[in-house]
Amino acid sequence: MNVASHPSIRSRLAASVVAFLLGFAMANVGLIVVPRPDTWLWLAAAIVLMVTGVVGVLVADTRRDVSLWAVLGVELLTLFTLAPLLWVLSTATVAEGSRRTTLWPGDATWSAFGEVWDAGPVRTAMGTSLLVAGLATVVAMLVAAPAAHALMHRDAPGRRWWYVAFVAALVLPTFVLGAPAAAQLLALDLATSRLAMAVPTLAVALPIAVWLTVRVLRRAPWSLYDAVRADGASVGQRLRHFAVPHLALDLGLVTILVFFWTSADVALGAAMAPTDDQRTLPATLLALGADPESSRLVAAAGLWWLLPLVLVATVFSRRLVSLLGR
Amino acid sequence: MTARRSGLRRLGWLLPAVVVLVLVTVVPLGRVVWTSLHRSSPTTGSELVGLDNYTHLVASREWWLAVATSLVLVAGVVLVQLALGLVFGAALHRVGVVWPVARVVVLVPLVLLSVVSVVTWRDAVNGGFLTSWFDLGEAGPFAQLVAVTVGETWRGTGMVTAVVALSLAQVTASLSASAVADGATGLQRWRRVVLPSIGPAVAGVAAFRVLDTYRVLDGPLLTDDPSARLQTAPLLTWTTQFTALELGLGAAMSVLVVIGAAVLAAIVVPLFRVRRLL
Amino acid sequence: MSSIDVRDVSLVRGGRTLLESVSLSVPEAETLAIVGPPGAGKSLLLQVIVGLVEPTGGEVVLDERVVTGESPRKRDLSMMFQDYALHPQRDVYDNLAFAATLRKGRDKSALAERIDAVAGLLALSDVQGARPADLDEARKQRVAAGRALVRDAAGYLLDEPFAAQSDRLRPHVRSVVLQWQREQARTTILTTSDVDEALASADRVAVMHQGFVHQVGTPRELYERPADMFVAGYLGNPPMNLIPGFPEGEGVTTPLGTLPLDAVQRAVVEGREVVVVGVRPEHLSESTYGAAFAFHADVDDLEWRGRSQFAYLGYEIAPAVEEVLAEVEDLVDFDLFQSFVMAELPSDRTLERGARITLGAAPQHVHLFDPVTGENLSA
Repeated sequence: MNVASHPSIRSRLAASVVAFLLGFAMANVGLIVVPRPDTWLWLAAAIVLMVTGVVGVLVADTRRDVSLWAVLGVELLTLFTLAPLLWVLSTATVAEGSRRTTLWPGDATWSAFGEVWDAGPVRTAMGTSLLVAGLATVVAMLVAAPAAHALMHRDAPGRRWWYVAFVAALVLPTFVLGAPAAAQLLALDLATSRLAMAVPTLAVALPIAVWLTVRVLRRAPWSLYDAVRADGASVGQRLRHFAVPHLALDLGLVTILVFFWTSADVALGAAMAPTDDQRTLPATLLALGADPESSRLVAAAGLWWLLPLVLVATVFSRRLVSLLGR
Repeated sequence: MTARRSGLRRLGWLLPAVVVLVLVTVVPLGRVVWTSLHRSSPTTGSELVGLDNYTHLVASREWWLAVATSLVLVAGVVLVQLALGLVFGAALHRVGVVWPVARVVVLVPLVLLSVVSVVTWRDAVNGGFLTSWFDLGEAGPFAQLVAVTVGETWRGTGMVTAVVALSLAQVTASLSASAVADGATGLQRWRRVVLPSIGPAVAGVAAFRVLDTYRVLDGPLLTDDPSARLQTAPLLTWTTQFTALELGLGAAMSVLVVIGAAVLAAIVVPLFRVRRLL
Repeated sequence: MSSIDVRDVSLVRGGRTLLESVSLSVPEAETLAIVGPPGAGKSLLLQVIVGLVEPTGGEVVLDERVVTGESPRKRDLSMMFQDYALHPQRDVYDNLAFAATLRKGRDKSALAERIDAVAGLLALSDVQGARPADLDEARKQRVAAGRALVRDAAGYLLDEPFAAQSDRLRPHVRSVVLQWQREQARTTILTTSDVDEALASADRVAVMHQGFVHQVGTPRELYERPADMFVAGYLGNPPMNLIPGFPEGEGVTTPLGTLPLDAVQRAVVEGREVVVVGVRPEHLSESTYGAAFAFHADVDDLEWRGRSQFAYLGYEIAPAVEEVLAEVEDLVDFDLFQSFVMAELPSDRTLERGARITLGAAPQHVHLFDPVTGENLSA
C-alpha cells in the first residue's frame, strides 16, 4: 500500500469513537427495548462494534495499514446482509401452526425443509420450474451461442442495434407478457401443457443468455484461437485445445446462471398457469405467501432453491466475479 | 464482395435468436397493443373501442397515482442502494482479506427468490421480529409496503456493493500513485481518478437497478389490501387483468408500463452515460 | 521448402482500405522482412498469408498453388504472433510442442529432440516447466518464437519476433532464429518496425506504409536507390534530409544553395515547379572536392555520439512551399520534412555551435523527388 492511502491518526480515532458509540447505543437499545432472546444478538453485535472502537484506539498510532472506517463499514455490511437472511432461516424453522416473533431461531424445528419435498404443491412446483426453466435455458443457450458469436464480430451489419435490443429485452417488465402469453397458449389449446410454458419463458431466458454469452466470448483470448488456427488445428482440435479450456467452463456457469435467473421470474409463471398444479415455483410461493401461516414453507423452499446456487458460487466465486464484473 | 457476404453470413448466425426474440416479446407486445384497443373481458366478449382505454387512463387519477407511487419507490430504493453500495463497496475494497467470502455473501440476497424475500420482510413487520422489537402493533398495508420496499433495497444493495468493490479493484494503482505524485488531495483523487474509472460500471448497475425495481410486482402484490390506496403501476396492471379481468384496460396499462420503462431508460441511459458499456 | 507469393492482395473493411494491391514474392528458403511504421498493415498481411483473414481481392500462392480460401491447416505455415498467443494453462515445453502435436504421424522422440534444440537456442532450457504467466516479456516472446520454429512447417511467418528482447540480447536472439531458419532452408517472412533490424536480417526487405508496399528489394537497393520519398525518409537512421528546391535554369535552387543538374536530370525536372532534393546525413562531408551539391551553413546544434557527431544546420522555407510540404506529409501520414539539414561528421572534427561550415555530397548520393507523387526522379 502506498503512503497516500495510509489513514491518519485522526481519522482512525474518529472511526473508533463512532464505532464505540454505535455499539454502546445498540447495547442500550438491545437491553432496554428488545425482548429476549434477541437481546443477545443485539449485545453480540454491540460488543463487536465496541471492541472495534477500543482496538481502533489502540492501533491508531501504529504503522499498521488498516482503515478503521472500512472495518466499521464491513461490520455494518455483514449485519445488513446477514440479519435478514437469519430471519429467513428463523421463519423456515418455526413449528407448524405457530409464527416466529424473534429473529433468533430458537426452538428450531426443521420439518418445513422436509415438508416441501413431500408430495404437495411446492414439490410439484419445483418440478415444473425445473422443466420449464430448464427447457427454456437449453433452447436459449443453443440460439444465444451463435448469436453472441455474430454480435462479437464487427462485420455483422447493425450488430450494435441487435445487442441493444437484447439488453432492452433484459429489463422489459415481463409481467406485461403474461396475459398475451396465457391467451396465446389458450388459443393453441396448449394451456394445460407444462412444456408449452417454456416458450413464453424464453422471453426471460434468451436476453440474459445472449448478454452473458457475449461477455464470455469477449473475455476469451481470441488471438490464441487465431494462433491455434494458424498452427493448422482441425475443427476437432480447435474444440479440444481452445474451446474446452477457454470457453467450456464459463459457458457451463452461464447456463447455470441463466437457469436460475429464468426460474426466479414470478410474473410469467403466475400469469400462464390456469391451474394451481401448473405454477412454477415462484408463482406457487406467491400464492402460498398470501397466507402468513405458510411463510415457513415459502422460506424453506426459498432456502432449498438457494442452496445449489450458493454452492456453485462458492466453488467458482472467482470466475463468476470476473464474469459478472468487468 | 467477400466482406459483405461474410457479414451477411454472420447475420445468419444471429437469425435464430432474433426470430425467437421477436416471437416471444414483439409478437406478444403486438397482441397487447391490439387488445388494448378493445373493451374485452372473458364474460362480455370483446368490442373494438379505439383509444377509449387510453383516454380513460390518461384521465384517471388512480392510474397516475399508481405511476407516481412506482416512481417514488424506484427513486428511493435505487438512491439508497447506490449510497449504501458505494459505502460498503469502498469498505470491502479497503479490507481486502474478506473479499473471497464477501463476494459470495453479498450476492446471496439477490439470488434468493424475490417472493421469499417479500414474504419474510412482510412477516417481519406483520407480527414478526420487528413488531416485537419495536412494538409496532398491527401493521397496515402501508407499513407492509414499506417493509417490502426495504426488502427490495436489501436485495439489490449487494449487487451494487459487489460492482463498486470490483471496479475499485480495477483502478490502476499507478494512476492513483501518479495523481498523488502530482499533488492531488484525497478529494481530487476521488473525483478525478477513482470516480471516472468506476463511473461506467456503477452507472450500468444503477440503470439496471432502476429498470429492475420499476417492474417489481410480487412485493406490492403480497401486501395488497382491497382498501389500500397505494398501488404501483405494475400492481394495478396486474389486478386489472387478472382480478378484475378487464383485459382491454389492463392491456392499455401494460402498454403504458412498457412505454414508461422506455421513457425511464431514455432518461437513465444518457443520464448515467451507460452507452459506453453497451 | 516452398515459395510464398502474394499477388495483388487487397483488403477493404468498413470502407477503409487496409491493404492496397500488395504483391510480394519470396522465393524458396529466402527471408523477407516487411518493415514499416506501426499500423502499416504488416500483421494483417501475415494473417492474410496464413489464412486467418480472407482478402477482398487478389490471391495467396504457395509453391504455385493458389491457396486463397483454403483453411490455415492446408497451408502448413507456422506463424508467430505479435502478442505471443501462448496457452496460459500449458507450461513452456507444452507450448513449444503444441503446434507440432496437432498433426498425425509425428515422431515423438524426434519432436522432443527438436524442442530441446530450440529451447537451448533460445535460452529456455531451464524454464521449460514454467507457465507463461511466470515469465517476463522477453522470455514469453522467445517461447512464442520457439513455438513457431519447433514445427516443421513449409514456411515461417514471424510478427515482430524480437521487439521485446533487450538491446543487448536482441542481435543474439535474431541470429540464432535466422540461423535455424537458414539451416532448415525455410521460406520466412518477418515483420518489424525497426529499420536496422530489417536491413541486417533479411535477404530482401519490403517497405510498407498505410497498407501499401512502397518498394521491395535487397537492403542495398533500398538504401542506395529508394523508389520514393517515403522509403528514403523511413529507411536509414538518422533519416535522409529532404530539402525543397525550385528548378531554375541549369540547376535547382534550394534554401541552402544551388544544385547543378546534368542533362538527364534537367530532362526529368523539366516543367516542375518544386522538387525535393534528398541527401543522407552520412553522405554529407566537408570535403567538397567533386561534390555535386555544395553549400555553406551555420551549425545550429551538435550531438556528439562517440563514433561520429551530428551537426544540425537550419534553413528557411518559403511559406508557400511549406504548405505544399505539409499537405504531402498529411497525405502520407508521416513526418518527412524538417527545417534543418543533418550531417554526420567524423567525431574528431572540433566544431562549435554557430560555426559556419561548407558541406558537399557526391553526385551518386543526391536524389531528386517529385514532392506530390513522391517518386524518385533520379533513380
